[in-house]
Amino acid sequence: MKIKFGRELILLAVIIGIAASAQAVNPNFVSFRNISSLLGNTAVMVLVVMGESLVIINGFGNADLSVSSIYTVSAVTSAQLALAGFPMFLVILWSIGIGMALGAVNGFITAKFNIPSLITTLGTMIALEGAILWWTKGMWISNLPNSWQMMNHKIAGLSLATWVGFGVGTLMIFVVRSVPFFRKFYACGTNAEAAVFAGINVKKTIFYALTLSGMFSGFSGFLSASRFFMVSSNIGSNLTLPAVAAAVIGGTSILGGRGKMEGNILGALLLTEISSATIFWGINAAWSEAIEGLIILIAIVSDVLRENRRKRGVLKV
Amino acid sequence: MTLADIVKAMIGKELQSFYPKRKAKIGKSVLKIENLSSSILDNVNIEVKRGEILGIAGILGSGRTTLANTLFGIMPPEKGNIFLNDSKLNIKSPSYAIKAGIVLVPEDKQHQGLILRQSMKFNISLPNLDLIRKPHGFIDLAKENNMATNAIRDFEIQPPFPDFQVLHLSGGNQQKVVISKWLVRNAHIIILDEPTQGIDVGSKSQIYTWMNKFVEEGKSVIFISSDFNELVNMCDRVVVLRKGKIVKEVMKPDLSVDELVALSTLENEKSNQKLSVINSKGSAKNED
Repeated sequence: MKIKFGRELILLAVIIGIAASAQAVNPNFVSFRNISSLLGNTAVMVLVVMGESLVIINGFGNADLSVSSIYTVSAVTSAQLALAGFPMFLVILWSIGIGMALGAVNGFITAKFNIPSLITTLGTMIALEGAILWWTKGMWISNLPNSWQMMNHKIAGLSLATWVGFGVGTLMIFVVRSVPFFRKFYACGTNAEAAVFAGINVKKTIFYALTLSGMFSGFSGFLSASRFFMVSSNIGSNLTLPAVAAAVIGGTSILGGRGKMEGNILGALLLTEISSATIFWGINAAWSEAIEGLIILIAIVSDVLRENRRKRGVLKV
Repeated sequence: MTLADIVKAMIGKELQSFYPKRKAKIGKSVLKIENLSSSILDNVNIEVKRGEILGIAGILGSGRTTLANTLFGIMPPEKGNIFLNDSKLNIKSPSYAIKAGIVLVPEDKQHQGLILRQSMKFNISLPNLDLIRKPHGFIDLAKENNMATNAIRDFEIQPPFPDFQVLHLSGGNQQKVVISKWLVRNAHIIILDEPTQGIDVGSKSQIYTWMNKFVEEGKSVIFISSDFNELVNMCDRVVVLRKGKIVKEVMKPDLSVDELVALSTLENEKSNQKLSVINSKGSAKNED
């Protein structure tokens, strides 16, 4: 397979450009301390973005809005298990398992009743948010055992969470590219009817996409929470939209059927970088969101323009 | 001007035989459909033999596409049995049909047969990923490329680029992609639903040639068409469907376009009489 770098190169250039301008204002931006914290935040986000991207690839108008809620449920319940003295490997398995289970519920409702995933996950998002509030009564979970902070363990200066997040991300690049299972996602996303005539079970595909998205969110919730000695009951709030945005910036087509995992990693990196850079630029934090919004708009417009150019035959696939 | 002259004028060379000749070697029965009922289809019994091109004639609404979709598992049968080589099939999904060796070239190639916004390679390999899998489950990307380039060469698809988007191919070349993605598999039975509709004469003739080659390898073709001329010229046997029921089966030497048209459009005599009574009443009223 020929590797084409179009969007990835542009993203890389933008990421370097932003870093350079922030560095010019404040020479502490490209310091080891800032970069490692930036990579840590990105690594946690990468997993959520990849799950989200797999759902969006599955078809026009698909998205998983419940990633933030699943992330929080997983983080909070994992912390409580650790508090109750369960060994860490069980806690990790729990975080993955609860994410998968909640994702499977999304997938089951979406596939069984033929509801757009956007609507299903909107429902589960709100329901789970309520459930968390009831379960924790809005309290933080503290007094966590030392073993809880395992993801803060440094290897070569970077936290374990960074290594795990980027490790899984890199693995997914190759897995998505060459496992038959994921080909079906792209086929369903571009033309579900033709996918049926090629022997693909479209309902099964959306079920698995949402299950995977839940799994990644669940694991990411643990990964993120276990870097701190306290876990807030709203740790995942404001995660969903950046996750969708990072996927779209990374080249995942909102029309469905297109998107690469390497793009998603860069999209996540760009978004975390912007929120960090606004601090270094010394401008109001509110601008951070405005800039993010602008970049998302540019990404969506360029996505649609690209698709139109493809239709006219200017671009090969 | 004869058909041969028109064809010559269109493609710039003499077509030796627009409908290629074939010496039929018909074996024993492969596919047996017994008492099949499914939406419009009513108690259909068909037998397909090895090495045979079986035509299905019928006008729109006769149930021919329903028959094709039922055999391919798009809509599971309500009643009846399907046997392939004497073993009963429970066709509940297209993937089951593909594994059993029954494949379908659907009527609407642009929406059902192809994913237009993806490349030729993607389309050709999509239903055949099980053939190019490495032992540990990953797709062998080199094999995938080979599969596409071989198909493009064998079926003379133009332009010959595996990464070319299917959307920009001509109708004939698009249909070649649809057919080629099934012919790289070793299917027992290929169902062609209106395969030559809206494509150029040259591609048409090529598709006929492949059909012949396919059945010469001991496989079978179910050929659905509303062009009765090609049915008469290509098929060993034609089953005529009308309103979901089999009207008649016509064997090769007796095939004629006129008879197929008559069988697939005309109601039986009784209802014809009723129709004429209604018509005469209607006209009587008009005169008042």
